[in-house]
Formats: sequence, C-alpha cells, structure tokens
Amino acid sequence: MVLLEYKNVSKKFGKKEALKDINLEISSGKIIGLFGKNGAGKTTMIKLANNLLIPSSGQILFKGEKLGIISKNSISYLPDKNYLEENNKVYQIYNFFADFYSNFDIEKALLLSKKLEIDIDKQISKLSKGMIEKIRLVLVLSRDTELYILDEPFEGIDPLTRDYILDIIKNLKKKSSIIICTHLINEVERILDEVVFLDDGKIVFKDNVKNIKGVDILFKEMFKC
Amino acid sequence: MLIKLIKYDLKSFHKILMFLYILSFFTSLLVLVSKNYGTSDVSIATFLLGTDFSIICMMLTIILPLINVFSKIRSGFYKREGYLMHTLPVKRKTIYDAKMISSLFTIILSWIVFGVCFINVFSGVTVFEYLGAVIDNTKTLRSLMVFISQVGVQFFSIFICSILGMVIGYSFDDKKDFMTFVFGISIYLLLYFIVYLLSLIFNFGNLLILLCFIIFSLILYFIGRYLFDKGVNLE
Repeated sequence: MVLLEYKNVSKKFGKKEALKDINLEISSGKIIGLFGKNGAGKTTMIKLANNLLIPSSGQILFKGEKLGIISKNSISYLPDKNYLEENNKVYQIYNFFADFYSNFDIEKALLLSKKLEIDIDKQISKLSKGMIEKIRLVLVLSRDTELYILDEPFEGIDPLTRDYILDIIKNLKKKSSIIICTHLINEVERILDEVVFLDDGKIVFKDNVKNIKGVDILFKEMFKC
Repeated sequence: MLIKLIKYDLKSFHKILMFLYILSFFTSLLVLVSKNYGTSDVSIATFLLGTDFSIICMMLTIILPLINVFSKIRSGFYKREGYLMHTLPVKRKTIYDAKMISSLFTIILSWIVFGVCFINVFSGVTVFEYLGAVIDNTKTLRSLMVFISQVGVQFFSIFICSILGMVIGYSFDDKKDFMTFVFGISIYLLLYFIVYLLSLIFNFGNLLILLCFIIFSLILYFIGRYLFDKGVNLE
C-alpha cells in the first residue's frame, strides 16, 4: 500500500529550484534512507511531506488524499530544528503531546526516557544538545503512526544510544514506514530496506538495499568530490 | 483544540510577563503608600526612587508584551515554533485564531496592569478610589471611555494590519521581513484612507468612525486567516 506519494513535485525558492519534478512513492512497512549532499533538497522534500512548504508545482498525497489533519495525525515528524520551548520542563512537553496527539503513548515516552536517562523534571534550557535530541526522538517515537519521518535524528547523540534508537526504529517497521534522512549513512545502513539519493533537487538513484553492495560505499562513489 | 492552543499560548506568554506585572504592581503600590503616608526622609527617598523604578517597570509592561507577542506569532507561524504548531492535528485556521486571541488578551492584560500602576503612581489614590471618583463624574467617565475606545480600536486595527502584512510578507521567497513591513504599513494606510474617505462622504461621527475601523479590521482578520489557511512556507 502506498502511503506517501510525490507527483511531479517541484519547489522553487526565488530563482533557485530546490526540487525538480520529483516522483516518488513510499510504501508501508519499509525503512527508506533519503541521502544526498548538503543542499540536495532532502529537507525540502521532507518539509513538503509535512505540509510545511507549498510546492511550486505538482502535489503530495498521503494515502491518496491531500495533506491535512489526517496526514498530520498519521505522520510523526522529527524536524532538523529544535522547536521545544526552553522554559518548559520535559514532563510538561510530554503532557502537551498527550493533550494534542491521541496516538501519543505517554507510558512509552516515560519508559524510553528512563532507558535514555532523561530527567523529566528538568527544564529544557538546562539540558545538553544531545539530551534535547533524545527528548525530541522520544516524542516522535512514542507516537503510534503509520509514517515516521526523521530528519537528521542522530545529531549530538552518542553511538550507544544511536544503536538503541536504531533497534527501536527497526521494530516500528512491523506496522509503519520510516523515512530517515541523515549523513551518518554507515550507521543506519543495517536497518534500511530502500535508498533514495538526491542531487541538485533530483532523484538520481533509487533501489532496494539488497541490490546494493554497500550504501555508504555507493554514496561515496556517486558523490565523490 | 482552540481552547487547548489558547491555554498553551497564554501560559507561554505569561511565564516571564507575570513577574514583570507583579513587580510593576508592587513598586507602584510602594510609591502610593510612601506618597500618602510617609513624612520622614526615608519615605521621601523611597518615593523618589520608587517612582523612577516604577515608571521603568510600567514602560516595560507595555513594551515587552508587544515584542513578545509579535515574536511569538512570527515564530509560531513561520519559524522554529511553527514546526510544532503546523504538525499538530489541527486546522491552520485554528492556529491562527488561537495566536490572535491569546495575543490580544496578553496585550489587553498588559494595558490593564499599566493602567492600575499609572493610577497608583500618579493619582495619589488607590485604583478603587480613582474609579469611584470617575464613575461619579459622568463627564470624566465619558471622556475616559472615548479615549480608551479610540486607543483600543486604533491598536486593534494596527495589530490586524501587521499580522496580515506578515502573512503576505512571508508568502514571498525572499526579503520576508521587509515585505512584512511594507505590506503592514500599506494595508494600514489604505484602511485609514478608506475610513477617512467614508467619514468625509457620509459625515460620520466619532462612534461611526470607530465602528468602520472595527468592521474593516475584522474583514482584514478573515482575509489573513484565509491566506494563512491556504499554506505556509516555513523557514
């Protein structure tokens, strides 16, 4: 079943064309790696899927429908920017999510927090960058949704935690699809089903991981400076 | 969802502002007490220092909420906080309404605090005594009501025009803040011109002019809401 669909999507920022005629289908039960150099258009693609940008042309559909409240409820998105209010305590943010998202499992969030050694009584402004990243991941992974979109999920996170998170993501695959956009290809390679390479706003490569010797090696070969 | 969003916004607005309001109120109260009941050198010194400090607090009571409100709206609509707001399972219209209602409430509250502090510092009587005297005097009450309505309606119009300016300005790919400024000013001038023209043609009195401002501002509010609902380009 196709969850997310990009149909001839282009996005311009002034004269610069960030995405050029993108056509892509994301099926359920898959983990997809979205890779590319800086400025290739990865974040633009992700923001479009979350209705945070208006496409210059083309359309994006979620389960055949236009993006809206249903897609917002069914997509759990980790942006590359920290949107957490600095004055809030961690548990207040969990309560906020529980208030707004019917699919946010606060028990799961508390359990994950314990595992990741997050002090939920602490104020966000008093936490390290890595710890804030962990909280953001907990928020996203504690929602029971059909699609998870993770933009640079491992910024500032230690390798041990990364492995733990990757295992959680792998388990999510049973019920959902996951799109991961990261520069740490080597780290995520082991859990991927499909890869999409973007360059200069275009999809230049798309294949099943089984058909590739190594994603990281292929990426370096394709985008050698 | 609208109520939940308003509650969230109000909490986030008042986390710091509440301290300022309390500080403003108590310093103004101190000035009032030392003015009325103090005769010693210490009371005079407290009065003089307190007045200066209280005036600074009062100024901040007006300025800080305004800065806070505009930066929160911009952040919630188009910047960092927007990543949270626009991914919540609510309509964009609801986000727009919630931000506008909570912002206006915040500003009105700051004016009330300012008014109370102002009376404490400059009138030499308590707010209740002052209001009692005003209510007793019909002429003063009428002038005060006219003044408050005019300032309130003008501010409401400027606020709505600024936000519509922001919605239009941020639909551009480039120079968004500059465009916000240009459109905000232009829309307000246009509104002012239309109301002025109507008042000349139909010989409107003060009340009708205010009513015109309110009606046109509400129209602009719904235009902004509609444009915002059509889509956003987050930074």
